[in-house]
Amino acid sequence: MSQAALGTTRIRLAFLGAIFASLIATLVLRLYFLQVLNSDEFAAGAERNQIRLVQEEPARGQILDRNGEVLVTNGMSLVVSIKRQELSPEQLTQVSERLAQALGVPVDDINKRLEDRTLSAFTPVPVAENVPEDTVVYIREHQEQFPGVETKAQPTRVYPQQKLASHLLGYLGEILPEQVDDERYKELQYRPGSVIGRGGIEYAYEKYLHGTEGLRKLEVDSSGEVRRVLARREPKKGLDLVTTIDARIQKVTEESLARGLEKARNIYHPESRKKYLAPAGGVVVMDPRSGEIIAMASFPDYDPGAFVGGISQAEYDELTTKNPAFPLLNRGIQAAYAPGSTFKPVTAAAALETGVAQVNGRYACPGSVRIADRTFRNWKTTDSGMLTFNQAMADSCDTIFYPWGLEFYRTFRNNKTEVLQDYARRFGFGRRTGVELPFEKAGRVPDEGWLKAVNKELPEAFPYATWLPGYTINMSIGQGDVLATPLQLANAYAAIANGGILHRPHLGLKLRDGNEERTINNESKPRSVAVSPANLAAIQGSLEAVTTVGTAASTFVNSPLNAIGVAGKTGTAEFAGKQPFAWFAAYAPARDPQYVVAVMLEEGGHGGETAAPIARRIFEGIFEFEPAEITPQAAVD
Amino acid sequence: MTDFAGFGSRNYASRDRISMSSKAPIRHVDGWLMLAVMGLTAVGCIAIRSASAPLLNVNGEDPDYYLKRQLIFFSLATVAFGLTLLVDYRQLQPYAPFLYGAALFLLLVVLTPLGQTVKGAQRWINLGVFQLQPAEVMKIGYIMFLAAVLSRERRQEGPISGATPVVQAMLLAAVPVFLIYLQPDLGSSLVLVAVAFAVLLVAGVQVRWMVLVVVAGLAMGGVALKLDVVHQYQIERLTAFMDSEADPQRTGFNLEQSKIAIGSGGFGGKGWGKGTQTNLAYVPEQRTDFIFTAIGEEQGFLGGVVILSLFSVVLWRCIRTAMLSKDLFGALVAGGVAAMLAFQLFVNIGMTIGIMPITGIPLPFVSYGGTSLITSFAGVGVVMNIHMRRFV
Repeated sequence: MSQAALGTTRIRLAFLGAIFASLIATLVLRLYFLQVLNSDEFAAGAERNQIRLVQEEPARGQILDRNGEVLVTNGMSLVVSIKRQELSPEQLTQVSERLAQALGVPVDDINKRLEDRTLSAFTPVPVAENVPEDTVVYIREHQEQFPGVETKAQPTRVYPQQKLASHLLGYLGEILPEQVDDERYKELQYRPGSVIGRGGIEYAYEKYLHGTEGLRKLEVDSSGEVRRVLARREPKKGLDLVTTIDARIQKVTEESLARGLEKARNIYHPESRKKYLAPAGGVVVMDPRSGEIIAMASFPDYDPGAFVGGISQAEYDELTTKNPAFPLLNRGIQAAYAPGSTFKPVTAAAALETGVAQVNGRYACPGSVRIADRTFRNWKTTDSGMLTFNQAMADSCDTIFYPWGLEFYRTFRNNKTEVLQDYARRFGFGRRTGVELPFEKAGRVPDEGWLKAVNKELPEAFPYATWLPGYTINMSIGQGDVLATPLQLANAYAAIANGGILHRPHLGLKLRDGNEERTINNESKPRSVAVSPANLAAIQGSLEAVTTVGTAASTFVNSPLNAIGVAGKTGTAEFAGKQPFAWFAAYAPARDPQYVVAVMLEEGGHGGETAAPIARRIFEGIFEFEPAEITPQAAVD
Repeated sequence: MTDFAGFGSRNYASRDRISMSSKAPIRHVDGWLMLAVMGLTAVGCIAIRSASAPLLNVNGEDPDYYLKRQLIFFSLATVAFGLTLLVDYRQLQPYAPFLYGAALFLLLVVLTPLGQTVKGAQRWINLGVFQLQPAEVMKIGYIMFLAAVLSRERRQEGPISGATPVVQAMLLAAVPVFLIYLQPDLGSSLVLVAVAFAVLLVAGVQVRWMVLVVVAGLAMGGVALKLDVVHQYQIERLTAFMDSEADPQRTGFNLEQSKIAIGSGGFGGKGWGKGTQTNLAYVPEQRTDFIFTAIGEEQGFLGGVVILSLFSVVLWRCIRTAMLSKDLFGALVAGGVAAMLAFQLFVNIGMTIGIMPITGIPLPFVSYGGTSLITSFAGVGVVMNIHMRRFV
């Protein structure tokens, strides 16, 4: 090859070399762009790829009764889940169809749950709970037909006493997306999908029962396999809660309420010309010495087991909108009613303390009285003659209480002192008792301030902004606008029974962590009702008379309870357009009170007729006498 | 004695003063080229160990399995390298058609049931120790044969001109490109085309003929698309780099993960064995075609620059050897080998960083794989042969 030819070849080679140089320069520039200028962005991408946080739900604490009997515990439920990220859309359709057939559920149910976006893409989506074991075995044996389907046992709530105390215990459900940022849950660091207490004790003691979520920080490779556990925090089981509930008494209480309502439904009510509807009722049993709630029953009830593993919308509707009796409602605290004559001890206390009435006074009890151009009737039409204070209470004579109400009205008109309202509040009415349970109603103590407010808000329902004498007069017998929950009434009677101390009713007794135990501090400075011992003794005496010679005497005839004595008061609350609501509030033993019982029946008759017999049966059960059959009595207040 | 000179210390004119005894080939081994190639192979071995050990560990296998195999390949490669040095390259020229023919024969064999299919591509012949990849052999065979044909042409007719050499180059390329395409292995086919252009350029073919070839090539590509000769997955892979985020779980996923690996390496890298993308196998084929992601993640920008610097030295020494060659055959072979290496390294690294389509092209000297390592060494061996005998 000539020198000239070699020369041009060299130029051509240099050109080739220049092309190579530019290619390499391009690569260097691109690497600089990726690795130096944008490195942070890619580093974050690598981190996202590799690290997965997996939460482990802790086992929830148990709920026990005061004697250690288990009310709620944990069991295992077989759960079928689908790892949706491992399947193509076609596979997913196929698998959910096969699963629907194997599980015997509509394929739509499965698809709906698969759409749940609150779960992370790497969390298998549970599509069925409480799956029978043979179905799980079938799925496992035919795993090739169910790619991406996982079966495992998962802790769930178990109710060894079935429906017992369902309203008190509450139920569980997944936290609602909007609740995650709630003040209440923020601190506990819940996330969508966390299971929380949705009612009752499960809600109230969520903080203790829930336990601490476990957390695993995993390193995951490209195929989703876990390579290493980078960090692990074991889940910590929630604390066990020992409650004040006595399972045995709770059972007697629930049975007695249900039977009593059933009996009431057989009684003919002349005024409405049909039998009592008696659709619902509530009972509270308390220890007056401490405020401990021993039992609380609400009828109708529900099976908390239905909520295990998530309740279907249809089932939920059955318990709520579709059922006029609202089985989920805890009538012990979530509904307020006019207390009727059971309110009379409060009126009596106010009257005795202010000198409106005297312990040894005698009062006329006609069939009706006329005050300010209006006729106020006694619950019975006949004239009962002159009655002592004790008899006035025992016989629940309304026409004796009306004039006392008028006196209170006059005091109010003269110097703006709302005496009766003041005493009602002293006994805890018109304000939540402070029991741990959620959604407690405050009830109502009506006064002029309240009237002005509601008049402004609802002028059609409350046309008058001026407090009229009739309001105070009606209130003196627990009618009109005064409203109380059965728990408020029980607590007021507890104060009468224990010598004037108003406790905060409560359900939590102790928290247990394995062998360690700590007592829950329920002391929130008990308040005195500030009624003199003499007057309180007179009221206590009159309540004893109710069960011996008064409106509830027929109920307690021949009861073994007479050996220890029962003090109580009947009540019958009237609501326009409804059958009467029956009340009975009592405590026993009369001279050494250990239990207060308050019974309320919606449209269930008169207090002495249907409510008192229920209370009798409950007391007999409490004091371990053979509970007698519930026998409705004559229709007395 | 090795020759580190020739770059500044001695100019080309000084060659005439060198005595005959100093013209012995053994005295003119290119030390720069040797060091660069050895450096690339060494970095490759470390990267292969780093990219393969974690998964082997997980499966309870020997973490050094692939490293050991690559070292065996390396010993075979040094043998091949040594063999290419023994005989004067000019004496090899007449045998170039036989090398080409042998490679062609192997390309036919691989399509018979003797060929091994891995992941849908029939590219390998099992030789026990390793799987022979005939396409790699063909790269060298094609360079040699094309150089032989073109240099003979020029000796006979003086200055090269006209379309004849272009047609010859294309005809020689057509059959192997078609056979390799059948495997299918688009990447290796493209290497042959790139080599053809480089050799033609060095041979002195007028630019207008090359333009014509490009236009014809594009037209043929268009026809191929129309006739559905190209597999859909090949089109997707070729176009994925343009929009890798549109479909991150499928075609673009590999590319996205590759970019994350390299980008997250940053300036200095995470250190050998500490790359999470590499350890957790987010990048597929990371010991073979995507070996550069392991280097990029674990050694960072610096590591990448080192690799590219070593390749620059290799290319520079090849081009320089081509320039120093007294005959056109040597210049064309050295230029062809340089083009083969340059094209592969650009396409391979380019695909890991998203500027080139994803094709199955290994990174010479670095990627795990017997045939690739042996043919790369053989190619460099021929260049070394030319360098050693430049005074003979």
